[in-house]
Amino acid sequence: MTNTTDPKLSRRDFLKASLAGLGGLALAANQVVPARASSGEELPLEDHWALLYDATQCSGCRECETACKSYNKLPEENVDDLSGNTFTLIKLYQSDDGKQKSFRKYQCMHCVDPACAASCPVSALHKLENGPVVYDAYKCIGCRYCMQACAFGVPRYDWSLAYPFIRKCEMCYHRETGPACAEICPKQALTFGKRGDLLEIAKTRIAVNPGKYFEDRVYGEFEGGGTSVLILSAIPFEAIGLPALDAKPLPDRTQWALNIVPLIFFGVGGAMSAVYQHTKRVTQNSILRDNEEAKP
Amino acid sequence: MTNITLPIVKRQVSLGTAILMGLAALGAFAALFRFVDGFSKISNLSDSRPWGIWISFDLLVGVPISAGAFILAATVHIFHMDKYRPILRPTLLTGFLGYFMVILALLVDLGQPQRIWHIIIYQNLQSPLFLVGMCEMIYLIVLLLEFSPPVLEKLGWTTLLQYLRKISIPVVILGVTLSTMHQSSLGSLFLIVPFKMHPLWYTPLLPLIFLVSAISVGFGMVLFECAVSHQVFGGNVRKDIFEGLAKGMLISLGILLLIKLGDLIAAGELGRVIEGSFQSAMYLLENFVGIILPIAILLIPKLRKDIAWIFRAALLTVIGLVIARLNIGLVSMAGVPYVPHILELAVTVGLFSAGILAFGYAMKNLPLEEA
Repeated sequence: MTNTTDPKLSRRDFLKASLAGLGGLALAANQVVPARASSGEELPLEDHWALLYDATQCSGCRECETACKSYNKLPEENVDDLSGNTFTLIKLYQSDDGKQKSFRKYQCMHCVDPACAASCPVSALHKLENGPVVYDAYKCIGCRYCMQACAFGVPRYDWSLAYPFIRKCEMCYHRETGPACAEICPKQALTFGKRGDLLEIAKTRIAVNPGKYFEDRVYGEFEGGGTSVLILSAIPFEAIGLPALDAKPLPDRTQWALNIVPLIFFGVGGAMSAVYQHTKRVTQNSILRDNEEAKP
Repeated sequence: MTNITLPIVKRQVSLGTAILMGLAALGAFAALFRFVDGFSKISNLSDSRPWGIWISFDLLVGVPISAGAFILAATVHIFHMDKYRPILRPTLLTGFLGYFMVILALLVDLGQPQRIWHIIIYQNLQSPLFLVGMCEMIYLIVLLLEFSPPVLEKLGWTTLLQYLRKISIPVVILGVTLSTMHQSSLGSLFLIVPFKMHPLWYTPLLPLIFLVSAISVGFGMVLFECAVSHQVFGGNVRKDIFEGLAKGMLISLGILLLIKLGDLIAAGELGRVIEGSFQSAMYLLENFVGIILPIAILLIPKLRKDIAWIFRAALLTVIGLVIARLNIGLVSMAGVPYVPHILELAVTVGLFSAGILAFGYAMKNLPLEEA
């Protein structure tokens, strides 16, 4: 596992060291700000809705795309990337010599600890207690911070509109039988189920076919704190466009700055009041002294 | 043949004002386009580049260059350094106008600007942007309160003026607190994108770097305005005010340099400064122009006492901050290449021009010299 540790993230250690003094205070402040805005903790993680995409089983028939379009009532369009009207997409990746090739299904990864939900200033994105990350258009102000924050480039915007909204896969969360894409898949490429069960299935496939899957591991088990869409691939994950993320959830990187906010509020406010009182006294004293000296 | 004396028509509007008015009108026109025909008609924003020049300049530069207001309000009202009182009002005015322009720019940038108040009711305490939004909204009111005395004096509303005087100190303290919070939170916005940002810029210390650079450029802008109002509006700013502000700028720039350098060394990324990429060149540029040069100038005792050189150092600090923030918003980010659309730029330039016009109008018409 060489690719999963992002070199950029090593700076966290420096932060830890440099903030060692503040650490205790930050912990105390932690109780003021809720750690997670989502209510996802209510159902255990292994029971969350999840999808297993096995790229080695995918034949690229794109039935899933059609099913998604029809269920979400999206217009047909010819695009090579996710868009405001395309929530899922199959892409073919091929190495230069043509020896390695693999399909990859693009869609929302439904992170365990979604960066989009953490970043949204108006809580328009949130994780349902059974897993899907969903969007409340009526709250959205269109700031696009979710698009910036998502490591998978999932939230999309309809730029042609004057008042656009965010558009993304919501895992067909109101559909009784789960996602339309998984139901239609004619192969064993896309499986819908509970996250715990799917992880087990994935690991069984790895165990039965040693050496078949890249690094004998499941993408999404730990990446970015874990995702509800799990991916198996024969070729390196990065070669099919999956970002190398370590196990720390992305929202955690902002947490320290948010934790010290109450501290800053009362600290700066208090310090300023103290300085005000002090300098006021000094100024008054010097005026008094001047007056004294002025007297004969 | 009789000589007819022609009445001399005095030019009412100077050329500079006319140009600024033209640019402001063009910006308004471009913004109108966005509200009628959509984003793609006037911008090069895309799914891979959701934040462009409006965020990178209008927000990331607009907020710190208005930081002079909280620094000077604290200096005069909290630290009781009375010698800076003569320049307080013009600085508060610039601050207020700056924040007002930032909000206007955000209204163009947001997809649903009519819902900006949603930040108040659907608050998400986990989002740095929520913090930025809330602090800025409240701070705009604080600035309005801080700046209102000259307006009320002009209107002659003395009763309200007296009430305001009574709450002025808590208001100033609130202003300093809110400024500390949102200036740093602007940096926190980028903590969640380690995978997108070039390692020269990505550091957990981004909030601290944003705060300290806002303070140094706050001093820089106040110096810049003092020098300009000295020239344009015939004000007379005492030399020791220039020297004091320059000292504040030098100290904050020194701290900024230490933080940035220390962070890169501790992270083991210092070598990237000379990696030879476009990003590393831009990183060197922002620090050379905005930190190293002004520090070098102000470290020379002779130049530190020369108003012309202080002005140059201030100008460099401001330009350096503009480069630094554009680097954060545009250069450091992975994604498809992005160059702002000409009309996208027109909105930014137009708002900036409108701000300068409003400042000029207020300088002429409001009693900014404190009684």
